[in-house]
Amino acid sequence: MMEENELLQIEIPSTLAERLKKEAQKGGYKNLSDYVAYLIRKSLSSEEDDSSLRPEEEEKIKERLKSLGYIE
Amino acid sequence: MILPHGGRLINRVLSKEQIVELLQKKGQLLHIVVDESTLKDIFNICYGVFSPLEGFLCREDYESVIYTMRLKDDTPWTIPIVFDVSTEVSEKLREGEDVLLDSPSGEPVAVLHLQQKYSYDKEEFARKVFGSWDEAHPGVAKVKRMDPVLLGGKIDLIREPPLPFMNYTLKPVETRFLFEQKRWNEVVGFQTRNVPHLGHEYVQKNALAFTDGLFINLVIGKKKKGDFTDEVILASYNALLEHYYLKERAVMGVLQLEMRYAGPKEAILHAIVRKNFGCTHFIVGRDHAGVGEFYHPFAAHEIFKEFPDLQITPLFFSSFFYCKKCGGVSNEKTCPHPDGFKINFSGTKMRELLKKGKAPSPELMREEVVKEILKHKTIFVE
Repeated sequence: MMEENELLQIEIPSTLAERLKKEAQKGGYKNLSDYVAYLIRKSLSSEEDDSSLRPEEEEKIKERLKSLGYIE
Repeated sequence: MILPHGGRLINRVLSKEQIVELLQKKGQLLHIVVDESTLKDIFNICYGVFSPLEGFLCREDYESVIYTMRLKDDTPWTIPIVFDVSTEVSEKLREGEDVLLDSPSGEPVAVLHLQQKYSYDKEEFARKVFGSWDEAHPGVAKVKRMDPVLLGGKIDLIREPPLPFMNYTLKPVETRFLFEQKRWNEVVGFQTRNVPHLGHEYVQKNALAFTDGLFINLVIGKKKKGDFTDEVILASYNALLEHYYLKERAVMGVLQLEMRYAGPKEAILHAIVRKNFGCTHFIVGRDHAGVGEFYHPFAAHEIFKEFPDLQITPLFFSSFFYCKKCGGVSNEKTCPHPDGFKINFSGTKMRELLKKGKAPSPELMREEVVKEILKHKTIFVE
């Protein structure tokens, strides 16, 4: 089985790599790999996020926030 | 809305059915009574304040955090959230089993799915996290008092831990809903453990001028003699919000977080927590989460350079003062006048005046805030 921290090489077009390198530098990343890993993680995590509330949960939160005077 | 740290807001609260099922086995499970600081960690893990953590750190994550300031999957994380027990207790526990975590009054609060028990080096922990092994540092002193075995594994919440000021304690799911309702795209978080003076208000309002909303987050809990009581801090902020902020632009909530005094590393944790609440910006002051002279006053600003992937934007503020010539609160970037015009926001002086029932000058503290403070019989921790 593959170890979680094992590194793999992935090929991307060199023109894209050049653009990414510039972005990585601007963002303060140490190298291109760190930046690409960050972009992939960000993209995957936005797909994973399922924070939608059930109606009864939403109602409970609304009541609590109303009691604090934060919403009408 | 900004994504929670790690991409997903953690919710580890058991359903009623799951609680009934678990508590039927109550007699067969081992129980460990936990203190208030662990209760706070449990609350923060299970309600997503510490997302993406789902439990207490196992060894690999613990080592990764203290050595690299990241979890083993590379997610930024600077303070190990761990659960320590004595050797005697750990000998009774088996990895793979469930353990009930009870409040001091004996009520089961959470279940720990024990994945790993492991030993650790206290000096290494303290030096890596606090940069010191000096017992004068409260974080180091706490590590020295810790038990020798750490328990790692996911936890699930059975009932809300009995913690003070729950009425004002907001969970990330609630603040995220609130910010959406208020249509705040950019929200700045401000952490405080003190009563507000005009310097604080200046920082908050400057940050608010460039964002849509302000989230004032009061950290309550352990205090030292002479500090303002939590009740006074809460009441004084209520007064400030009522008289000097637009209801549509500022809200306040209590954060159940034990201060570790880890300076720069704790500043990163505080930013992560605010990101989980839905803040896009976080105010980092001078010597944020510092203690004594253990950290450089701007170390908490510098460390953010090492985390370009944090996603929440830190707003750095240094010192500020009242300038008699400017006629308002100013700072070293905006005020050209000599020191003779400047009045510093000296916490010690303001405390001394309030102790005598006197009001600090209106240039330093709002009249309504002073009035609220002086209403209390006990203003300071005795």
